[in-house]
Parts: sequence; structure tokens; C-alpha cells
Amino acid sequence: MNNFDVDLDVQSVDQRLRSLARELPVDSAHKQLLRNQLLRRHGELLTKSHSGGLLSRLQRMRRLTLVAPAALSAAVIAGLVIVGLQVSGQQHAQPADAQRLSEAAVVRTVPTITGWRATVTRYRSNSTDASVAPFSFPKNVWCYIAKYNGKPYPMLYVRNYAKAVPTKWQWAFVQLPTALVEKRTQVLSAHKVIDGTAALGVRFALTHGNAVDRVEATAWVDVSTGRILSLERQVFKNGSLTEDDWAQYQYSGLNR
Amino acid sequence: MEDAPDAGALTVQTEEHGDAFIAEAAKTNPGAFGELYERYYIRVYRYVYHRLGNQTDAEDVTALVFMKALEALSTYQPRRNSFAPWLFRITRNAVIDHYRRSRKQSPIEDAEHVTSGVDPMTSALNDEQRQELRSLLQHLSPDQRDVVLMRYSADLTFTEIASALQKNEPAIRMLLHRGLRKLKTVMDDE
Repeated sequence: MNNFDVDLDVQSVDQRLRSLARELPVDSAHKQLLRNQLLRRHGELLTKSHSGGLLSRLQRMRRLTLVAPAALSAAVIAGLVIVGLQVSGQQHAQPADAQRLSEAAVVRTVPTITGWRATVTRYRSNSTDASVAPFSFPKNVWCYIAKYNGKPYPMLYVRNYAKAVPTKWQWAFVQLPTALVEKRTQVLSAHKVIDGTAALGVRFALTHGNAVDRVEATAWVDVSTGRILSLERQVFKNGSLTEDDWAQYQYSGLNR
Repeated sequence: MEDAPDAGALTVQTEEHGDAFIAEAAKTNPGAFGELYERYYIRVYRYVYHRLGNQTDAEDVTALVFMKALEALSTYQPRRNSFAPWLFRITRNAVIDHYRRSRKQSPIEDAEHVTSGVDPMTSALNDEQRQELRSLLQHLSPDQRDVVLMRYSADLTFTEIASALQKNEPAIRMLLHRGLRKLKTVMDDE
């Protein structure tokens, strides 16, 4: 930009604006994550460009991909459709169940959720120090539908952690989509029935500090909609289970 | 990690032409698209941020912009358009679409957001500067605001702004000039 493009009498304004408009912190993690998503998508487009039969499906997914973030970003969201779960090389993986969560499920309109509630029950070590605290998540949850290896995945962003909700819960919820994309998930052979709904278990590891050995989360997913019905979180230290939390999610609102 | 574009194959005289070359290469080369992303991310993000006023929406819309740009890249014609105006047309439209969709919703407070390790003092100073800019921009007409942000946040030249907004360059210069004069009056009064 050339400073001589503006008249002398407004150059001070020009300089001030330049200073104000340029100073802006950037979330480098978000920038890198977006870059990775874009480059993957670029590869998919190159691959698909010679597959004309998939064009109509891509167009449907493009609409969902492009509409979902902007449409949902200011609204209340929580519709999550998990499709095409990646299966790691564990002996009790069930690809057939993952396939049931087909692309047809995600092509359906992503529902608009007006609110969701979670009940957290916590068990520490061997004592049942349970506390049940119903609360509502804040509205500020965004759901992108990104594609990876030809399959769509939800990319969940949770902002404005509610003070009543332990951050560790939000983190597990947030990490699930990333774990799916990075193929760090394991589909469990055992099913659960939660409130009369068949649920498939998706296990993944969470990042943790040095004080513990490992932290695992298991999301129980409604196979018909892909919504997370329940989330379990277990912390292991010195080979023993020291924390065992679980939360159930109920969704309310109107479908778009 | 994708391969970087072959720099030796590019002969550029201006950055504008260089970006057009890279955009053409990006149609088939992911590394070239990555290069464009690195060049334009902060410019798009700054423009979107100052239009929308919060980090969360800015990140969402910035992601949408680059996704749309990627999807539309096959239709980009470097001989007709320089890359920057083409990209910022997409950007501006994405911001307008965001406003339309959110106009009936209450504003989302960005009470807590991911920081990039900035100390509280610097963070507070940055907040003050953003607030000052927001306050100044409110004195401008929408067209003036657009030109100011494309100029100072997005680092576009007058030619690029004119192309992005589909106006002629003298009109752009006049909008900027009037906008700056108005702001000078505001700043002198404070």
C-alpha cells in the first residue's frame, strides 16, 4: 500500500487505520486445521473430477458443507450426524455397523437444535461420589460437515464453555470429530440401548497431562441419526481407573 | 505433506500476476492451493473479522470463504480476473450471507475463546484497538466501510478493490477519500 495514495491532510487517519486494522491475533490451530481440511478436500475433488457418477452426490454434499457452517453459526446447533466411522485395526471392530451410518444419513437435513441438556454422573476411584446436575449447554456450538476420504464427518466447534460444565466434557465432545478424521477411533462390538435407542460405541483417546497414564472417551451414537447420546470418560493412573464420568445428552428443538 | 509448486515454472512480474499463476496451478496442485491459502488467510480473516466483530464468526466465515474458493477454483479465469478481487468477491458475499442468516438471531457473545498464548496485557490492548476501529467504522457508510476494510485489513490496491466491488477506480478513491475525511473529523473532535 502506498501512503502517497491519500491526501496529506488525511495521512494521519490513514496511518492510524493501518495500525488498527492490522493488529489481530490469529488462532494458529484453527488456521492449520482449516488448511488440512482444505487440502484433503482438494485431493478429493481431484480424485472425484474423473468420476462423473458421483457429481450429483458431491453437489448435495457441497450444499450441506457450505450451508452448514454459515447457517448454523449464529443459531442454536447441535445436530451431529456421524457418518462413515473409521475403524482402526482392533480385533473387535465392526465395519458393518459403521457402514450403516451411511452417507444417506448425512444428506438428510441437519436438524436445528434449540437446546441440549446433559446429566453428569461422576464416580471417582472406588467411591461413588455421584452428583447429578442437569444443565444446558450454551448455544454457541457449530457443526461443520467436512469430508475426508470421500466420507462426510462432523467437525464440532464448541465455544463459550458453560461455567457449569466441566471443561473436560466439552473437550471430549470437541475431540471426537478430529479423532474420526485422524482415524484414531475404534468402533466397539458391544451395543447399548440408551432411552430405548440402539447406540454404537466409538472409543478414542483424549490428550492429557503427565499426571495420568491415559484418558479414554467412548461416545455412544444413535445409529439412525448419528447423534451422540452419551459420552463416557475414563482416566487411568498407575494402571488403575481413577475417574469414571459419563454424561447423557438429550436434544430438543425443531428440525429444519 | 503435499509437494510445493514448481517455483521455477513461474515467471512473475508482479505479485498480482504471480497469484493468478499460482491459482491456475492450484486447480490441479494441492500445494499451490496451500500457497494461496498461506498468502491470503490473514487478509481474508482480518477483513471478515472487522466486518463481523468477533473471532468465532470470523473463523467460521473465513473457513467458508476458502471452501467456496476451492470449490469454485475450476471456474477461475486468470486472464479475466486477478486472484485477489475474485477471492474478495467471494469473501464479501459470504459476509453478506452471514448477516442475512443471523439478522434474526441475537448476537453471540464471544465470552471465552481460544487464545494464541497472548499475555493479558497485550490481549487487553488488542481489544482496545479493535474497539477503537469498530467505533470509527460506525461513522462510515456501508460502502465507505467496505472500501476502508478492503484497503487496510485486506491490503487490496485500488484496482483490486474496484474489481472486487465492481465499481470504477475513481469511485473507489472517492469513497476512501470521503471516508477518511469523515474519520478525521471524528478523531479531531475526540
